[in-house]
Amino acid sequence: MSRAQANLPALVVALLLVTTSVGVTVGLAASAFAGADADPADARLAGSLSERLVAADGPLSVRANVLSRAAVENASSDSLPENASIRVRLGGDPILEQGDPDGGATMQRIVLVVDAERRTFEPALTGRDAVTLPRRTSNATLTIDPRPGASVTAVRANDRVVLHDPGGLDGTYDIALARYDTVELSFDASRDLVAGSVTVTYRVETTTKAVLEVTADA
Amino acid sequence: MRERAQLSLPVVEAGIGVLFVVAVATAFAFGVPEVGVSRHAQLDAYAQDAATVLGNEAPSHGESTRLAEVAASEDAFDREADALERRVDRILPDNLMYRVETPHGAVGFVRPSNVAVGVAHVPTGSGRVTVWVWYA
Repeated sequence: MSRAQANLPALVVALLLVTTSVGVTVGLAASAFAGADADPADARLAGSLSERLVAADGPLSVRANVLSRAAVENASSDSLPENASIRVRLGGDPILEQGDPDGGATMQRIVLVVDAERRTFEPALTGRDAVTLPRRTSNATLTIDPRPGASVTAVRANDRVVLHDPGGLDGTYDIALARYDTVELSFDASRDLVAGSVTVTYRVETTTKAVLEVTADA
Repeated sequence: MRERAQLSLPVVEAGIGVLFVVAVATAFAFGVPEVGVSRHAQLDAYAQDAATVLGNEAPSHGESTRLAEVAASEDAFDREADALERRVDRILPDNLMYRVETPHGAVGFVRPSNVAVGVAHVPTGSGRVTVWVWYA
């Protein structure tokens, strides 16, 4: 019979095909296992450290994703985990360094860097006894020094009473404000206030954007 | 009897076998975690950061934050869309593209379907704002 014999070359070709593809697959699997990092300690450390640095209560933060310039300049590597080489860079400049990370994993985060300063001004208080702060700010310091005969009994920020003393306010007071509103401070006074009765010191933030880069080599 | 040209059975079997083996091989080619910080983790972090920064910024007119303001109404969105786009453009590194979607419209680029995209959602008083970023 000729039919059964004709199958032999086909069987050889078939075996060859299967063997080759199995060989290629095993090679692929071997290289994939060799290249895979089943315990990505570097990436984990870089990720969690960057998360910690941008958190609202992080060592350098003012708010979530907002770092304070002063804190960044005084950053110390005490807060970094031990036994790992870590480099933290802000906008390309290293701010924290522990060891010398060779390779490792790098995580980048977007942050704002805040320069805070305090500005002082004396409102003229012509007409109404009220003043609008030129910038939105989270807190301000009021120095109230009314002329003899005048007394300030209350201070309102956008109609919310922030300071109140029926006996008359006199001295320096810190007040907390909402950062999201433009604030108008108004004064309840027994007489029209003159310029110089009130001095306002408020916090001014200048933000710049930057990329925080955390490289970890565990 | 006329002999019919038949496809050899072992070759058919081998073909099916090769298909199975190749299926296993593709799993290794695509399914292995990358070394270092994964693309997805990094993109998600970028999106989350952009959303956090925008979500904490003071609004230009009303509402509590910049994102709440653009999500508030059609008018507010029309008024603030350009400012929002400029702001997102400034915040994100230059190698990223973005799309910010609010209940009243979107700013940014059209989102491609074939690249890795990082995403972050921010709930606001008048609906959800979504930020997508991807590598240019």
